[in-house]
Amino acid sequence: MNASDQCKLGTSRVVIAGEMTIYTARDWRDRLLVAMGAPGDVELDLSGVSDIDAAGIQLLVSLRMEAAAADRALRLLSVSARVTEALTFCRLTEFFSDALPAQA
Amino acid sequence: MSAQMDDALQTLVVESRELLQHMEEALLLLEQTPDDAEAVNAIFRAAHTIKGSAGLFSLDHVVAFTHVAESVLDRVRDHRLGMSPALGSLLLEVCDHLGQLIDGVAAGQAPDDALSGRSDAIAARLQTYLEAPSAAPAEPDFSDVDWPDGNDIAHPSAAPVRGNDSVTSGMWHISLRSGPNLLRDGMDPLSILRYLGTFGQIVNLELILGDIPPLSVIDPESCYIGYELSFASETDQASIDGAFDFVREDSVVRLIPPYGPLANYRALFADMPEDSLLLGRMLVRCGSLTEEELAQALETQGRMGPDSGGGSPAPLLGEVLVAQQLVDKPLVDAALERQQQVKATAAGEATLIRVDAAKLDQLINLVGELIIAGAGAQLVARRLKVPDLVESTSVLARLVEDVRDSALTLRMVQIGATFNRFRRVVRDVAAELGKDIQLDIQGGETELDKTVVEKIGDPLTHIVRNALDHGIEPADVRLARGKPQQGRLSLNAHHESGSIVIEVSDDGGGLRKERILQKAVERGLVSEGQVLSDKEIFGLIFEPGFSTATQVSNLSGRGVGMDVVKRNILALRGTVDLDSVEGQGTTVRLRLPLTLAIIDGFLIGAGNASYVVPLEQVLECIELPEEDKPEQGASYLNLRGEVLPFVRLRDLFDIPGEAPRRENVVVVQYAGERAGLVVDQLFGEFQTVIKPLGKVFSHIRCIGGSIILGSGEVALILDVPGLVRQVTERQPVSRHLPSTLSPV
Repeated sequence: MNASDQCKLGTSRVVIAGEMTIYTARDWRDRLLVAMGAPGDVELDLSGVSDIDAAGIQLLVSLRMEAAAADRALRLLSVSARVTEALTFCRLTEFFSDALPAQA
Repeated sequence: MSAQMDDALQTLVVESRELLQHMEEALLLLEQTPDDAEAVNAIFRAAHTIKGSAGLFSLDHVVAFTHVAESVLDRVRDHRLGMSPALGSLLLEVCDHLGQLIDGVAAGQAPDDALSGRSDAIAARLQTYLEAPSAAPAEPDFSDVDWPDGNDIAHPSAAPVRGNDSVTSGMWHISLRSGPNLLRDGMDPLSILRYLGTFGQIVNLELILGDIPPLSVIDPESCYIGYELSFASETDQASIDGAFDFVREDSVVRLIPPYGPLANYRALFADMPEDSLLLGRMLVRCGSLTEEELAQALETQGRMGPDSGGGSPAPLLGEVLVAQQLVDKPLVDAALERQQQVKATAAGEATLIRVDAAKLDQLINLVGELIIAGAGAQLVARRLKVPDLVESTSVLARLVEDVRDSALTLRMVQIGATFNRFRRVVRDVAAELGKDIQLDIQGGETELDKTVVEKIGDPLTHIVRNALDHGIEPADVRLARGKPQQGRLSLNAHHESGSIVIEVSDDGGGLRKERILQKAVERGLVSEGQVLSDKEIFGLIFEPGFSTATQVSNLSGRGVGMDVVKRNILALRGTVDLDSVEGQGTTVRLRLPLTLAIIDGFLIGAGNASYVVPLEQVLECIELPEEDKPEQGASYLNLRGEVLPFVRLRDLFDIPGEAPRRENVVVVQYAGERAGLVVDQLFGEFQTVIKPLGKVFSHIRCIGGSIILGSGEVALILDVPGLVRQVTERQPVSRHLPSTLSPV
């Protein structure tokens, strides 16, 4: 996995690549926490996610709820096919509808 | 097999026996109230758990047998099959047979032909209940089921019989609450759900996200999401269950079959921690419930009455919920209350631990030594007369006493479990005899020492069987005597001055005194013309010479082996007596010590030796009046106008030497009889651990055990019931007891 986090114009961007599973969930959580610690909107690039399980899903949900509670926008910039499939399977596309790219 | 495996197998055996007992209790309960859904669930759970654990050990014969029983139970649970007396009896047989199979497992034996034959016979009879109209094939094979990926929802082809109370959804409903460690254990709930997709279709899935904590506090490796899904599949329950086999231990999985009863959904609402209303909305979104059904389920649930199926208020509530999002307060309160209950039971289960009885015994033993050592220290402190030391040893003594009390309560168990076992005995014996008998149990919460409980089972069974067999009359005789046709047997327990009293009463024919007396005269137990009180006459049936089966059934029909009962009870330092009114019934009363390990004693001295009398049996102490000294040959004294027989310990134990000028009388009482013990000295109260006497001394009467004093000396515990009997009956006593005992 690799990640490059940027912070520009009050927007934190986290790039998540590789597995988003129980094995890496703790790392990604820490990364997301850093992003949430900074002010402004949060952008997530999930295009490189090769696998996602319940641990990954609940991280996304947790982030989504926390962002909403803090009145901050969450955007999923681009999403890998695997993530799309998992969100669809979990019937969560609606939950993330305002965060997902328009065409998804 | 490794030692660890052995341990695990041992646990399986213990747990299975417990489960079988629950199963039996629930089955007997069902005979009274055939609609008790909770009892049906309990039976099913028991069978299911046994099957599951047996599977872990590859006990295939147990698994195969239990599987058939479980399938039948599943049908009962889903209201596809009604409970009938015949089915109830068959299931009791299943229960017994499983017990035998488990016994075999415990003994490490493979089932022999007779046992396997019986398994097959019972399984075949169970199978007849499965051949009624059914949805699923017995042996599911979904390899050739070609499920389309698309939107073509499969409908179960053979719809199960639909009751009045079943829902309209033709899909399975599955609730999954994953345990927190599921992911850490290497299982992904999503994979499990995806696996379900290989033999059916997940029509809708609702995730319960409310428990996911904020990012800052989330444990990313724990599971927080709950799942509710509707699932279309033609396979049977077993294969769907199978998908969850690896997660069942930590997780909660609920399956509701297609067209399942609304009651199952109600149970789901009650069991799940989520708000019923929120959960209900999810089920509606899943398509498992319609709005009306939800309203009906919640409404009836709110009223706590599962039988109201009318549903006229349903649309109203449904409208309210949908249109205004208003929450019915009592409903939510009820839901909250149920949540609390569920949590409370869960917490209650978690606070129980299983401890090896031997470890407890060891603890009690150690506490016993502690008490002795403490008493020794206190003695030394008193002798040294150092005030600080005396004070600290007395604080210590008090604490040791507290430790003793709580250690003893660890071994206290309620007698209810023992009593409940008699439900089965009563049911079976009554059926065998063609009598209709109702068993009443009272005081099941009365506690007594586990060792005592274990030992009263047999005598109690004997007494109960006697009452059923010979006490309670056949129905026609009862009717002729103007009694209700149904006989009553009651088991009652309560505490009374340091003892537990257990009563077995029946409303049968009672004992016929003149016939007992007549028989006793014939047997030479009583001489003709001897005048006996009622108590003495009834006492005769406990005499050894009195009881052989033929004589007794010819006579009044009671007393088979009653002498054995009496001997067993006496061995426990207890007594047994009997009240009977002819034509109205009989009560057998057992009086037993609460514990066999420790007594509160009263320490007395005669000669150089010390003796202990159990404190609860001491009434008072008086000085022996001058005019009653035995030189005058008296063995009775006048206690405030009452005649009190007494015995001098010096005479009883043949203690040499002169009695002191002033002697004391300890007045003891047991089971209504009083007697005096004349002693040299009174030392006062004393708490101590009983050391049983060796087998060599077991024939000596009047001695119940020994204790070790703080000084290291041995004191004998006087067996008050025996003494009272000696004194009141004036029988010769063994005169060959050591009068003094050397220090240990």
